[in-house]
Amino acid sequence: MPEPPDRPAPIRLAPLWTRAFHTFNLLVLLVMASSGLQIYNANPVFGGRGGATVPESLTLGGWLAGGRDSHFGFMGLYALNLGLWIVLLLVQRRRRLAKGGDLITIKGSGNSGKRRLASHRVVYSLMLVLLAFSLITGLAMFKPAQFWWLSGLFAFGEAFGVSAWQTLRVCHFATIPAIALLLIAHVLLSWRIGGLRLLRSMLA
Amino acid sequence: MSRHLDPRHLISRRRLLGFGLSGGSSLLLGGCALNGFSEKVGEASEPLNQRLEALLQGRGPVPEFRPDQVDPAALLVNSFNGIPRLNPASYRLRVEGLVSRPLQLDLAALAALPQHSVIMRHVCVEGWAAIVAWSGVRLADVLTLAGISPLGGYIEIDSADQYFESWDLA
Repeated sequence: MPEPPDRPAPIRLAPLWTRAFHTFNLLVLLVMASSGLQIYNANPVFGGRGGATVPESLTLGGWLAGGRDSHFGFMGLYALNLGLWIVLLLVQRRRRLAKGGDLITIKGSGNSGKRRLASHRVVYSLMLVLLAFSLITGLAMFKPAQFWWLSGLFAFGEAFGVSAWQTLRVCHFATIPAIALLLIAHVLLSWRIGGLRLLRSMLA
Repeated sequence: MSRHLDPRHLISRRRLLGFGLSGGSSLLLGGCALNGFSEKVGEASEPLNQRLEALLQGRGPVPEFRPDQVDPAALLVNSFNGIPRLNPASYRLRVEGLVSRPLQLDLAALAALPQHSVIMRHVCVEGWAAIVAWSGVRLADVLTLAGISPLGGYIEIDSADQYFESWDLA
């Protein structure tokens, strides 16, 4: 009589705070990006008045003020959630963050598993840096009079004939495609490392 | 934390995940249906944001720029109801409300007040900005002349094209 097939081992859920952060961050990022694109449409970063706008189906708010309502309404929650997560990581899970040795591992290690883990740590850390960058560039645009020194950092484009403000706008906007790419890399690498089971442990 | 899942529940979890994703995409795609949501969000977050902004307000002067940084072409003309034609002879700046001396200033009276000029960055709510040179009378001088009451928290500005705007006096 054949043995009954092995039942798959039960899935161990990721810690509640990990799942809570991921869910909340994903939802808030969707709101920030879609309301941000609504603001973009009021005066496109590329082309200015008369420049190409983003399809309305990707925007949130219906018009400029609606987009700003959501963008400024969620920015605080977004910053709190991300700040809390970064603090928790630094205090409790520092191993998950990239370190200098990771780049050497990616370049030189013959162990593909190790290479994957190292590249995932790099992608993961870059995501945190990028999300923080979106907040910093956002703050520089939100309060340019108070944070003039922050907005002033973007004057490096003036050497190429681009105003500091335009550089700032492009930087802030670029965080959307950049985080989308990193998100894809993050999910694919998680898939390679833990497969569907890991994804389920995050989303179940 | 080590909660274990019974594999029998996995299908329903997966369905839940499906609901979650479709919910997320409808948030993205159903933007139009959520315009009321944005307004609610704005109303809910506005008081807290105003407090935060009040904390940041009045910390030193605004940054000024060099004359060669002025870019007149970058300043877009945003008129609410077309560009109004003003008659310099009949123009009056009316100041009223919580003031001890309501004013009706003509151009000569405005010209008699101390004149200032400043090169600063004009930032529009639409996202664009332009470095412009402003010159004229300071609002603070006009309000002092009118004897503004400390009870007033905001000023409302009505412009000739019927646009209106309110400013926090903080």
